[in-house]
Amino acid sequence: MRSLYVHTTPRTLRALGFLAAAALVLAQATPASAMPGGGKTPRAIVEADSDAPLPVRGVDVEEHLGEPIPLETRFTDEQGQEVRLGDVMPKTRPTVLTLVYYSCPMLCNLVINGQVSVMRELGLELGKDYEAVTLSIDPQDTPELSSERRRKYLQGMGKPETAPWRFLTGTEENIRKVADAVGFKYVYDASTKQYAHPAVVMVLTPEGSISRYLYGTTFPAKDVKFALLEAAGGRVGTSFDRIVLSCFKYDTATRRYGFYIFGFIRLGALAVFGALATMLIYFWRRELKKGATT
Amino acid sequence: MTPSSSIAAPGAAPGHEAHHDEHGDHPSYLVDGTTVKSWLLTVDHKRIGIMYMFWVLLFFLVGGIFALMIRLELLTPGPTIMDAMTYNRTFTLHGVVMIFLFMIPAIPAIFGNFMLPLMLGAKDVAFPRLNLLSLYVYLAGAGFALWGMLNGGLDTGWTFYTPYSAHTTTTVAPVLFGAFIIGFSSILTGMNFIVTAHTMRAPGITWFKMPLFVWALYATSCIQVLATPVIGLLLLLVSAENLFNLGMFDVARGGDPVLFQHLFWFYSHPAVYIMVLPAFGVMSEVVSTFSRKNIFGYRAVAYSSVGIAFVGFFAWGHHMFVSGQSTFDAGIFGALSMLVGVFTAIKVFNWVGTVYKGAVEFTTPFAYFCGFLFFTVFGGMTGIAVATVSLDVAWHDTYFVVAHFHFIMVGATIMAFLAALHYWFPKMFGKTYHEGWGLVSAALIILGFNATFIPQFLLGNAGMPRRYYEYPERFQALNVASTAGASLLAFGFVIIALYLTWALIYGKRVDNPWGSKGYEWLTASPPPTHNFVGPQPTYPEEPHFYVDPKKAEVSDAV
Repeated sequence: MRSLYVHTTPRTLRALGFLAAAALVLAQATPASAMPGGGKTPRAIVEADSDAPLPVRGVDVEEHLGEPIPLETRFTDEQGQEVRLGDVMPKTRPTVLTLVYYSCPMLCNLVINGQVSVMRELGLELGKDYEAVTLSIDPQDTPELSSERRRKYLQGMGKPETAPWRFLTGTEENIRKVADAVGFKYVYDASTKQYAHPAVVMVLTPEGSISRYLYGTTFPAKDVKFALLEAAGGRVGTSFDRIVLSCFKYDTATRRYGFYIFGFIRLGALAVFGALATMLIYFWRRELKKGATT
Repeated sequence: MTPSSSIAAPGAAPGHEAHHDEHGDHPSYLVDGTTVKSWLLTVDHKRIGIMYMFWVLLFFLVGGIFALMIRLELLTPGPTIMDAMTYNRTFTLHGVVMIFLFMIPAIPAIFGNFMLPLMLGAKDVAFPRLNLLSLYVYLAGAGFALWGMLNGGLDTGWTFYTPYSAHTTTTVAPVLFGAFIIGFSSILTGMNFIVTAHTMRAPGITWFKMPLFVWALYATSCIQVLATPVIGLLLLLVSAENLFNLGMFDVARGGDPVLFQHLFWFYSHPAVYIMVLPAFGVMSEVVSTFSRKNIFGYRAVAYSSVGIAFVGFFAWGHHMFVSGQSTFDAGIFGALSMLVGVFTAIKVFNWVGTVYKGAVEFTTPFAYFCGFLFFTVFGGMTGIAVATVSLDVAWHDTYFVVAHFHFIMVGATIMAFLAALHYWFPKMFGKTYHEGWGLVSAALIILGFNATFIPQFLLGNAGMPRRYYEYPERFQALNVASTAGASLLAFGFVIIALYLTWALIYGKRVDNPWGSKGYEWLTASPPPTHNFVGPQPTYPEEPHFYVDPKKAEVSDAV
């Protein structure tokens, strides 16, 4: 079931969602097999699957779900201007936050490339439905590097230069503040002159608190979309998206969005009830007009 | 309604006189086409009803044999005729067959199919082909279930509670899947009946002139359409859980076994009313006919059917008083369950009010009405008792509960089923049975039923748990009494089978032996294929209008 989702485009996802919403009676065994907790896959295997490097001491993500990030910290944006983190965050849309560094030979590129490719096929629009912030964890990185990376990735997405994906650099102190707040644990390895850090994308609510962590270097469009919708709390996406979302739930065991059986049942029950109610209202109205109920 | 209209059109159905003369041109549905194909592919609601009757009675026999096996096994405290595993399978199959294959389809699918269009003055139900489909869907489901039973059976009890049903090695999946398929048959029939009641009524039949059996079927159909998808989904989930071990009901993997109970009872509690509401409808017809009076408090009886259908959806928690439900929830569910008793009591008082000052003709159907009244009141009162949380905690899962639901659900339904069978036998086949034997078997069945289940009330109260294979010596006397009662019951059914079969072949030819004024009797017995000869009949009077027109002015009939 999972392999199905990795390749889903938003359109097929929508079709799946429609099936789920409309057809209680047609409830096939397929969705039933994808319960949250399809939970048989232990975390270790998930991590091994997700292209992450071997665990390094001190590299981890400690999830601080629901906690605020330090909006008052100041960074330098890609144009060299000093900005408050809270000011580059949209107030009405969720944000995708990534922590990387620009001279990174391997993992960061994989993470950002994964982010770019999922943002392209998300079905939500950068700037309209969500924004993105990438923060360098290397205090040596400069706004020039920021600007270069930004141009490259936005081109890759086919987005104009003005799209709201901010690339920030800053001082060690401010970077640590943000990294600690989101539980992003990384270490500098002096021998290789590289940072060892986890591969993770964070989704923030419009208010600037942490809503979801998505791990790995490839991100299923479904997971990212659900995470954004969830973070937005109903302010982004169509109502249909929200109906589909009610059938899925983040599963902490697999760290993916899994099929949520109870949401599905609830929707199905509403659908059946609605269908019967519509039918009865139709008939009763017709009969009351004819005055046949006396 | 008005006396003048009854004087103007005493025959009520214009086609009534004509079709006797033209009988040669309009053969009855029984002989209009005699090939096997003409039966198997018929879209005639009456033939479909008869075919349902054949199968449903067959499954009743199967379920009855399982019941006798249980009672024989419980004759002695230790092993009697089977081992413990066989016993588990036997009571499971007894429940599954009796509920899914017999009681749920019994009255709606047989008598509902047959009588609904006749009572509405229609040629057929709204969707005749769908009607035929529902029969074959039912048979397909029954086939699956039977296949599972023959290939090992299952030992979960008819409630299929998780986590056991997810782990038992017996054949759970085919039986559950069979029940799932049967659900669709139930939904199709329900849809069909709702649309028929709305769109197929003959001129003159307004909502409050519909026979009460139709009201009962209408309420039942709403429950069927609304509740059955839930059990369908649930049975699929349990089958999938059993086959693929998904962990949906496994706490260790984030599942919830109590979720199963919620979903199961959300259907299975209203299912009780799928069984018993049509029974109430039958009794409203029978009591009017044999008291020669229109029903007392027509609207109260009609509305209380709808009321039971509604409240029935909010009572499922009373099955889960000991499943970790909060005391507050349990109290609310208990009180809501008692509301069902209020609606039922409204009906009971109205039936009794109908008999009062009526001209009672004590025939076999009326005998069953008397039995029905007893079982409904007694079973209903024990229902109030088990809906009381403090009492139910002690009675839960004992024979007291078994006896309670056999009284209210089975007792009432069987009484109504037999009453309907006898009352409408002349309508369906144009022949009559021997009244004496009818009364004898009715007496045997009512006595046998009491003898079977009253000891079980006592056993449960003394603490004997249900579904146990062995029991302490001190329970033996009551168990023997119960088994004796079951034998009496079985004997009664054998007599019925014999004289009804005899009547089918040699019975005296009759048209309307009861002189009933129910709408369904306004056409010939057995009816012609299209139910009425000539133009669509109109209905100036309400059904069961027995009041002499000359005395109508002083009548106190409502």
